[in-house]
Amino acid sequence: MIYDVIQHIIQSFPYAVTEIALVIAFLVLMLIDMIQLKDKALWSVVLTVAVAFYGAGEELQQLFDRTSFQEVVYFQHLFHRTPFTLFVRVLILLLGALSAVYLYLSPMGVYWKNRGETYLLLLAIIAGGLISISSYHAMPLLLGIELMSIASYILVAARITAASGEAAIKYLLYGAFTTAITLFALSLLYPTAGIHIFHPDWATQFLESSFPFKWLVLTLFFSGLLFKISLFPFHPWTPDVYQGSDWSIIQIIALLPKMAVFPILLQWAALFGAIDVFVGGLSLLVLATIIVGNTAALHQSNVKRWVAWSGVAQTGFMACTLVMTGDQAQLSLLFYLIVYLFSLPAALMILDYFESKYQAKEVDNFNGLGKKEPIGSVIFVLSMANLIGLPPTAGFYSKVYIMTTLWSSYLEQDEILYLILLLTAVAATLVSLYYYLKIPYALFFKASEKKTILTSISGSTVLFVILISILPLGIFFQPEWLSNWLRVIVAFI
Amino acid sequence: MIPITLYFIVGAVLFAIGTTIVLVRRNVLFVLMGIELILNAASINFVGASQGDYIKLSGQMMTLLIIVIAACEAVVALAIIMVLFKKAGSVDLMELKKLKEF
Repeated sequence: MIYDVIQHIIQSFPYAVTEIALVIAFLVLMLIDMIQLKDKALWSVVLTVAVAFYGAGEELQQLFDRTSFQEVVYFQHLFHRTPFTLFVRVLILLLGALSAVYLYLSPMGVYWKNRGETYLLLLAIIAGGLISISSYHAMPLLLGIELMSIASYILVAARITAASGEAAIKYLLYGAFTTAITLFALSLLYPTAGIHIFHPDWATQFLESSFPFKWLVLTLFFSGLLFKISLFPFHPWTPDVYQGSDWSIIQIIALLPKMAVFPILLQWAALFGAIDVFVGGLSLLVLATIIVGNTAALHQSNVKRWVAWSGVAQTGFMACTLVMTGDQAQLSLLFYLIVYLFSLPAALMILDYFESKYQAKEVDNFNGLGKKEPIGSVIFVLSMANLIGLPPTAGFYSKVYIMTTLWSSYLEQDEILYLILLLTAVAATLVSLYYYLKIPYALFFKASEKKTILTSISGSTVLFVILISILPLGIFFQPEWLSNWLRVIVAFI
Repeated sequence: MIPITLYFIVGAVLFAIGTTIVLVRRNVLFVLMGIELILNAASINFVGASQGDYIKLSGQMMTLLIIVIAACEAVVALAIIMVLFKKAGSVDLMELKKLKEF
């Protein structure tokens, strides 16, 4: 009996090789941090990127192996592995590598790149994402989410100023409260439906149970996850936390949790998809998110708050797909996630560069800078076009996929809800034209203010990240290339 | 054996008290205490409900996880509160208004 269990655990280790590599890298980074080295930051970032690429290689090898088509449950029913989880793990690791490169090259991030704990916490966030996306049981899911959350609280707080402390305590109180509610709701669901929450039987057991407030409890259970992606009732932390942190931290807390949590929600949406109560409740939240995010983004003058609110609006857009069922909806969510998350660092990097060089913290500070920084400004306009969804960028196709899916769902099921969502999405896109083009307008069409240049930072290193991150926009010319891949992947959800 | 319902009643009462504290009190330390109460309510529910789950003992495992989470969050939160008190001079949520509200 015990021999079998030990045998099973030993057989499970090959599936967790990436997590083990991350732990080893974590320990080595701690050692590097303790030793006096000349290029400590360079060593740390090289190690982080190397371990992320090693992990991504391992996962890709497993993905291309034909045996991966079968679902594998390992570590005593705690984790599972499907082609979908493998694919998302690859994306999380690549995004982690991009974040590490950003940290090293960020003009405002000199404080962060020379501190060893930044890379340690980044590795912890990546590991949390991997653990939560592979989980089969509620325990590793919450463990992974908390690993991500607690590491982000420390990252936000580590600047040790009044603003960062305030941002961190708000973030922590929201996060801890939503996690506590999630755990309490789970404790109520545990006796009725069990705890293997990604098992297909879980949804049927939940539906058959006679527990009176089960839908309310399920909503409460989602609060911890919705907090991580800042969906409507759990979004108010976003602008404050962004305003209180530097760009190098914003890009970590804006990108990695979304990459991990949206696929988890997608798995649930696939289980609960056909049920009216689930669809109705979720679409109300999505509608509210789109409306709140867009209206609040309209009148922001602070750049970081503007980024935060537009991020909330984008979250609402992505969450539209969770309401629908079918492969096309899942495909459009993954397409949107990949295009959005891998191209956002370019926009953040340019804002970072402008803040370091011209102290541009408010929208008005950008007046007339387009003539001084032509390359950066043009790329910025491109990435804004991507966020709006204008043609020469891949963002166009991500919006088109979501809207056509909404329209075909409406035609198939004749549900007025989908039509309302579609109209809101179209209206939101029109509104987003205004606030996304506010800074490009200031860059090119407003008169320059007399301003002293404070520092001189070479733009070439900055350009490196921008170029990596602008590449996904090229998917516009060949969208089938990505969507055919995704169609294979979503068949395994 | 104590029936599961009694555990759940205690859990519900603790949850109600904790949520009320979180929503009403404005001192950061009190809010944290409220969150701890909600986490404890969840622990009690898990331990009570795992009566029917002898072999797998998932409830006990979740309780251990909750204790770990509560400890980690308390450590980070208290460290942040110390920094905040030094830099901003207050741990009252009403007085933390350096970042714009809307």
